[in-house]
Amino acid sequence: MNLIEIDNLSVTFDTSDRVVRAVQGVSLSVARRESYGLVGESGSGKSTILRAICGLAPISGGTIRINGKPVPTPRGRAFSAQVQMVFQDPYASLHPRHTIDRTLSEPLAIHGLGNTDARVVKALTDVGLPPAFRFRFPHQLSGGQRQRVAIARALMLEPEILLLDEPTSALDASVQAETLNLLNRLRAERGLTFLMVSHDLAVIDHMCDRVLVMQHGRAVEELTREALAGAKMTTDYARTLFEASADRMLG
Amino acid sequence: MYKGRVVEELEAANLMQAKHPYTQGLLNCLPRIGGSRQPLPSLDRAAGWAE
Ligand SMILES: Nc1ncnc2c1ncn2[C@@H]1O[C@H](COP(=O)(O)OP(=O)(O)OP(=O)(O)O)[C@@H](O)[C@H]1O
Ligand SMILES: [Mg+2]
Repeated sequence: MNLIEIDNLSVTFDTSDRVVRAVQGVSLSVARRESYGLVGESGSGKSTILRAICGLAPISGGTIRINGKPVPTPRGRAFSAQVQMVFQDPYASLHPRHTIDRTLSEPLAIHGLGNTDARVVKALTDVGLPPAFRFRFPHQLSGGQRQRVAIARALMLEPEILLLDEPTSALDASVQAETLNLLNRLRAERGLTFLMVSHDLAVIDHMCDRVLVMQHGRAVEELTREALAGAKMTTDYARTLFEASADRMLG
Repeated sequence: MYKGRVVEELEAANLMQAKHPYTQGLLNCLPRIGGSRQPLPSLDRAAGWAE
């Protein structure tokens, strides 16, 4: 059985002036311990899929199952112990006036987990940050360090699934490399399952076993890593994305 | 740029001809389609680049 099963998902935003069909009939499934990518141009609905899984976007059709069970509404504690999200901009996703210590201990308090000090220190060490960083505020960290804190926070409840929304697109190439290496190490060590959004096909290729190419809220084509590397795509749109991929210009 | 200073300026299309070690280093850190799954190289930030 697949750990994540999305069947015919549609998300429609009904705003005061217009109706936005952000996701239209998208199906995908992700096996346990697999890393699955979503790529596509801006506005194609990638983030909306992750947000719908977390209950942050209105589902107008279709089903989402985690481990065979339809996700409950509201998502609740059991869901957040199983599924966590990491956002693109770690500065916006960390509370500016909370110390790192408070940010990392909060999920423990909500879930009634003890041994807070030891868990916070271990969480920082696991993402390669010195334990003394717990007394800092987000603005006292670099962008890469903030993203490490966001990853540490997502892992506090030891989830099985990480939803990663462009986790490195705000970082320079070197810090991106360090962050991707960290994510790959954590996935291997903990047997995590990733559903990861990126606009960068080379990042997806490095991180993911399969990728779904999206356009205008629809699934265009699913590719294995081998098909992507071998340029075996069958749709014009996936080929266009591939040919435009920045890493191909680098030779 | 590195630490607020310009270290090199190039036409975007000539990026692979970058001479400065910082520019070359950054390009090295990028994943490539069909590339290896080994950990990506990252920069060893040499203090000299900022001088
Ligand atoms: N809360 C909202 N209310 C109305 N429209 C929304 C809302 N959130 C997203 N949309 C619209 O839904 C569509 C898909 O947005 P989404 O953020 O999923 O795109 P994306 O693929 O993640 O794009 P990007 O690469 O720019 O992050 C867009 O047209 C967007 O404007
Ligand atoms: Mg997005």
